[in-house]
Amino acid sequence: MEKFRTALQKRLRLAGVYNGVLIVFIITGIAVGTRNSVPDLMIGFNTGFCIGIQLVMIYNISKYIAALKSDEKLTALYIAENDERNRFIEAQIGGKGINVILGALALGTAISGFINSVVFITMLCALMFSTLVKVVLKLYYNKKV
Amino acid sequence: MKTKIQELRKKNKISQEELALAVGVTRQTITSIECEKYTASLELAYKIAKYFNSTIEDIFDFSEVEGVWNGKI
Repeated sequence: MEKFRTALQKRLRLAGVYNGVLIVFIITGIAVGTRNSVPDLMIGFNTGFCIGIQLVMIYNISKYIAALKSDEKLTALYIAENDERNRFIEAQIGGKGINVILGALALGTAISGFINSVVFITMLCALMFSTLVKVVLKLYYNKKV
Repeated sequence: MKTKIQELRKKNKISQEELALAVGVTRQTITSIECEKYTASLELAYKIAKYFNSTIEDIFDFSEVEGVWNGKI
């Protein structure tokens, strides 16, 4: 369990660094968007996307802090993260592979917003479809297994 | 795969939550194993057997696997 505790502390430090980078990214995004007259949809997506990730991060940070303070919560979090059925479901839906694809698509969508609107919308559709596939498969396997 | 987990739990008055915590999985995993929706890994089967002071063969029904070996299925 000490290994897991160290891993959580490491995750918290990473989240702190990420938050700093994200704030710079949002400010830069708004500045670049205003100067180069980037359509509102793209600025809106980038800002909304960053805020969404930020909210998830805040949720995770609060979960990790609570787990580090209480042994009971730490055990519950460890079990939830290492549960073999959850891992089986993740493997069935292509877990890590699909997460890498979603991450790359999200990054591509955010960057393409400043370059070309057609590429932006195409990548946004691909991102939404991939997310939908992941959600549907996860719900299906959660019910089946 | 059929198991005697539910039977043993009721006999020993143990909840799914308690068993799950003792063997390091979520309650849903125990539910799925009891409902024959999910087959436990060797490691989990060993932990469950040890928890009940029993053997894997006593808790998990391997008759289907034996059927495959004997060319019945």
